[in-house]
Amino acid sequence: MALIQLDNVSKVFSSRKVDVEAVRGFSLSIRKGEVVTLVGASGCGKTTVLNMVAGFIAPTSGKVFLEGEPVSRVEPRCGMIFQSYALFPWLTVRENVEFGPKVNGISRKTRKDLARNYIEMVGLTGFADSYPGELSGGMRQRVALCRALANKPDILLCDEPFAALDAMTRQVMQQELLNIVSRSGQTVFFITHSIDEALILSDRVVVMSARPGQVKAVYDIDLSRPRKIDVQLTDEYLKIKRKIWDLVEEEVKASMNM
Amino acid sequence: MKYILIVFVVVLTIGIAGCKDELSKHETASVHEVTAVGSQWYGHIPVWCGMEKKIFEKHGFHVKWHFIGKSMDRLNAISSGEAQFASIGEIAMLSAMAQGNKRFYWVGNQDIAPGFEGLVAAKGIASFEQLKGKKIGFPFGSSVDLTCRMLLKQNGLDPLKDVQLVNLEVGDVPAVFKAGNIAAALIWEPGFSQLKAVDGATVLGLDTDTDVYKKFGTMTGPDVLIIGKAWTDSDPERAANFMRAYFESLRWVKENTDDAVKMVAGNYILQDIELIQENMAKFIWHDIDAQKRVMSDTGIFGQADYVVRILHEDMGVIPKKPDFMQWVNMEILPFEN
Amino acid sequence: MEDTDLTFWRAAVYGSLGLICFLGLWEISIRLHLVDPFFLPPPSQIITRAIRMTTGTDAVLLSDIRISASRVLTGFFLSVLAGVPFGLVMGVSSVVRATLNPIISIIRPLPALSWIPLSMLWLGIDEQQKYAIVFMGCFASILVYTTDATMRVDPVLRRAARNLGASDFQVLRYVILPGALPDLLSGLKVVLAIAWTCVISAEMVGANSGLGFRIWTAKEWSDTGQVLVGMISISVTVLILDIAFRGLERLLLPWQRKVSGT
Repeated sequence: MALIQLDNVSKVFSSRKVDVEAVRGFSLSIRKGEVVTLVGASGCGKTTVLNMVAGFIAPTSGKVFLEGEPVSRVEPRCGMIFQSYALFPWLTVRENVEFGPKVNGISRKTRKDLARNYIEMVGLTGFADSYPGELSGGMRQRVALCRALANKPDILLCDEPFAALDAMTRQVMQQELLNIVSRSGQTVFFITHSIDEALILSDRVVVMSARPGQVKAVYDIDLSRPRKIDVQLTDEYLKIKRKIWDLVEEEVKASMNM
Repeated sequence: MKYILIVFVVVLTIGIAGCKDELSKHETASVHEVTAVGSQWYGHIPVWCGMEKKIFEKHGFHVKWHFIGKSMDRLNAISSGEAQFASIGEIAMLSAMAQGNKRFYWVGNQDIAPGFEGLVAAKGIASFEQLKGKKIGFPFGSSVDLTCRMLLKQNGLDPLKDVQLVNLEVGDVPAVFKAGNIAAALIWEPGFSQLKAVDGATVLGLDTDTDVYKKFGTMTGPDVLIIGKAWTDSDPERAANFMRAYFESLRWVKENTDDAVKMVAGNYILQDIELIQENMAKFIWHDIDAQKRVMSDTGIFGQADYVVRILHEDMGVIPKKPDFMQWVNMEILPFEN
Repeated sequence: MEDTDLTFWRAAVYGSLGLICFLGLWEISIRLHLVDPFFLPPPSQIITRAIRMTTGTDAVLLSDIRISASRVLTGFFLSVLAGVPFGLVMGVSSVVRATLNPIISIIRPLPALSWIPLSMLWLGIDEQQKYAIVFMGCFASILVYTTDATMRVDPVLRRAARNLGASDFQVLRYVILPGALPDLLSGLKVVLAIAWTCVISAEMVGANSGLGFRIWTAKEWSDTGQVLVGMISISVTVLILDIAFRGLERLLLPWQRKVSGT
């Protein structure tokens, strides 16, 4: 059984003046342990798809299933990593990481250990008592990653989490995410507009069309793991990158003509 | 072109406005505007009647009336030059003098009205002894301030230790008393009648029970007339004419009290006409002939000496004893002989 | 040339210079008889007056400050207690907001002074009436400041908390309240100053103590010196309370201090 199942999902945003169809007839299933990336031009409805999986917004038609049950409210089993980090600025790094366990009633001792482990895992031990405002962008996103993982989500939803980082930090973060995934077998649903990022991280890449967003193509990425940065120089990599690139370019052009 | 037009219009507007100003100045050259200020107290009747009967007009004055409830506020209005003439309570005048306010003259004492203010106690309080520890409300710095303190002392109570004195606005006194928030209150007419009318209220003392009345036969804070110093000095003739008009009006009031009461009741004093008539029977007007008698050491000056001593030495509310004679100006009073 | 921030001590030196010049000009203009001391007593006279009012036999100034301050703080805390929870709910729920907005719009513009007649009728002239005046002067403003502060909390943070499994109450308690706190505190600081204007109004009538009472009584006796001592006491007390409030801010918002440091 698929962990996540999107079944012919559509979303129309209605305002007083116009109706905007963001997503149309979107179907996709994600298996446990899989890393799936959704790529597409900006404004194609990627984030809308993710928000429906997380339960932040409800589909206009169609259904999202998590382990066979329809998602009807904000779903804590889908841990979200936001592009803007969304860390609580008044909490220290440790307190941020402990937030999920705390509201879920985990004992103080257990969540303390949990937080220590995750903070150590991303190498922020010395910053456990710092406030997010004192950290760099990359460090903040690592805290956000810890916070999401500490809640032991069934699936990690990533909304272009590394888009605001500089190129070097981004590469480091990608590697870190890969390490975690390969160690824990975490299921990940990842959104990006960077094809390189998608290819480095994914088992499957879903290319989305311009608005209204639909599934345009799905590619299985068979590049060997663990993937290092030099995988980008292989012919296999370049071949598939070219294919996806052409598709995305088409959609970008289409959206600009709209 | 557009700018020339704008400049033209602006110049024209300023020109017209200037001319209008000039014209109106000429128009009013023969009529002097005077602002008189006062409350609802009977002592202002000569001003109201002078306005209504056009006595001021006859003498070349256009009097504008402004309501200001408290004596010190009226005095401040005159000090600032915004008003020229008022009747106020003697105590406010003396304390302003003590503080060095030299912007006014003391020109008369137009009436004597003893028994129009007193200390009224709420239901269940029948003696001064019972006021111990209780609240007494009245407007601070007015004649009733002195009346209250003297009555308390004469009856064996220390105004600062044995009771709580509460400052109230003139108009609030009856309502606060009626609501039962204070054990006793003091105010002059027309509020005094309202105090007495409250269910179960007892008059514990009147201003006529004070030592001041026993010694000098006046209220604790008699009505005095004051006039702006700068306004007077800049044209003494004009000030003298104004005082002539005022005392002409006062004489008319004295001789036609019933007509005067009808003229002001419901208009300047919001009180039943019968009550005003009844009170006016006890009211004594000092016309111009009486001023020489009352404005003397055997009259109000002697009383003022006594009051100043109490204010400074007993109450400590004024920093020194002012030589009030420096403020007295009787040269502008229209004595006939 | 670019204007740079001065260090604390330099700013203090310039500030004192400005103050000394101001007081000097004030004193001189009276000594030269340009201003009638009855209208404006010189600083020297005000200072001696203030000393007399704090150390003399009838030293009332300090107890007046204490009484007024306790009225201000009581009324202010009562309105915080009532206004902040209400404001939080209004900030979160658009239905509650829409329901209460018209009522608040009616109450908010009313100056504290305008509540005096009714408050005297309802509560008399005791301490409760003074508290009520301060309360009425502060409540609506606190409500509005809280609502605004609540609405300015980043919605992504609410989303993140819900995503981590927080209930509605937990979102309110752990996200909206701390998130709104910085704006809320700076709003409360403004309201605390408003509370002082309220208490001075409240002490205008039916009082026998407090700075407002002292000022209004001094007016009745034409005692301009005492009026000014009272006014300056208000300024100084508000200043001290403001410093205390800033300390509270630093205590409650440690994360803001650290951020501004980097």
